[in-house]
Amino acid sequence: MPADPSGPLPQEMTEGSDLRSDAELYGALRQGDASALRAIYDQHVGLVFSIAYKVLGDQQEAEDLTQDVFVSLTRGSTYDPTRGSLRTYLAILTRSRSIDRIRSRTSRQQLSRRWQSDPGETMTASTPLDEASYLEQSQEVRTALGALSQDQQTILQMSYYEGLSQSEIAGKLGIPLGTVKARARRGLIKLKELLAHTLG
Amino acid sequence: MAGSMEQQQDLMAGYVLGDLSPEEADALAQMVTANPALRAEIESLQMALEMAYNPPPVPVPSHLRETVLKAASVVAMPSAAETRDLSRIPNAGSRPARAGVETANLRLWQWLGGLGLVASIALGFNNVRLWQALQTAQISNGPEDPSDQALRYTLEPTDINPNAAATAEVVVDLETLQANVTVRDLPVLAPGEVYALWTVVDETAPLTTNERNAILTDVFEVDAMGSASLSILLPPFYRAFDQVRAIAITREKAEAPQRQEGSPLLITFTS
Repeated sequence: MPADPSGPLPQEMTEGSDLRSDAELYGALRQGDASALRAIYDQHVGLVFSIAYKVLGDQQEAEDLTQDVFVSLTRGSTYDPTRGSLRTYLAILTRSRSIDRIRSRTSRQQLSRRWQSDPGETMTASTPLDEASYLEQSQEVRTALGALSQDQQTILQMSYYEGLSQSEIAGKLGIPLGTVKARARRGLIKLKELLAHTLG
Repeated sequence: MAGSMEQQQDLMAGYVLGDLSPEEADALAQMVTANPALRAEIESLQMALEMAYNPPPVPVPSHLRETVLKAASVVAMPSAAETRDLSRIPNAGSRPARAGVETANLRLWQWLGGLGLVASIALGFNNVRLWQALQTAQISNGPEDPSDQALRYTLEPTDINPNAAATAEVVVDLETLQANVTVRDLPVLAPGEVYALWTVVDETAPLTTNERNAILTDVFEVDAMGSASLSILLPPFYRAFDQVRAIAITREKAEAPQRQEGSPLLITFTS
């Protein structure tokens, strides 16, 4: 088995004390090691719950979704620790499932409105993506993002924020798959350089 | 192989974005083995991405940890024999499945397989909607009683129902399509009135419905306590329950309940 690129997370990103890497923890989890799920939960629950809460706007729903996300890891999830970081996987998964829930909620409200002509009923006017659009960046982050090319911003947004695959992005933008991959990576590298002072 | 600085940065960014090819994953693993300090670079890339696109952290309820771990403990874990060497995972991608079933359990999938619905899913069925439908329609199917394949819908009172305690339960035997409907605490009917049981289906369903996508499924009366118990034979589309969006009970004129002049007193939305 090749070495695992991920190591223990830095202090500010670590929410637990288990220092096993993503691949070690995920491998142990797949072997049925309950302590691995505890460690994964402790390290990443802040990320998962924050995204779920921000998109859904409801604590109970955010708790339910957080549970779904972590429980799904114990079954045959599509996460491949050799290809990417667990945090990115969890962030995209959480956002995607949160938006699915909002779409379901909106569909249910529309059906409810047709069936219950209750004048007091309030409807959600915003679309799921409107509700999910919550960029709350500091001035420094906004400046850094603004320094990326428009293509880099778009592709990073579509990839990490909207959870689209690179094939989907290539199809939507009408550019080759390799170009999507290259621009996303260059964009992230540049973003890290621009935020170097903040990242320490 | 140490790789050039540019190549290292490229692969590390690819790892954080979750888009490494198997060959790139191997190359990055070798680089990290040769230079463990690269892990700090990977972490910086991860943090940069999260600073740009994630919301500020919010406090996590302390009880959630136990809830999640308990829920996970009841989910079947794969055996060691089923677990693959992570270095041999095929190129399936590490991005999340975007429409995965959220909390289906093994029994559910066995049950779906028995009905041949797995094929429907493979043909593009929306798994999330299916699961949401099934969350409302609690399925009972135990090995101790293989014939017990039932969908159970609980209808709740709407705002216009004068009795907030009113309720109805519809239990559908999927094998025979026989449904047992039990109603409690509905308002007593006036002469010339009946209650109508409606099935609301998806607007794309190839079925004849009224303008509200509803099908009049049965009519019934209640006793002096507002209760009723009836057994009805449902139309075949109930087997494809993904087409069912809601079940409702309205109060109608006995001479023409199909006009659907009343608003729902009890309703459940299945998706």
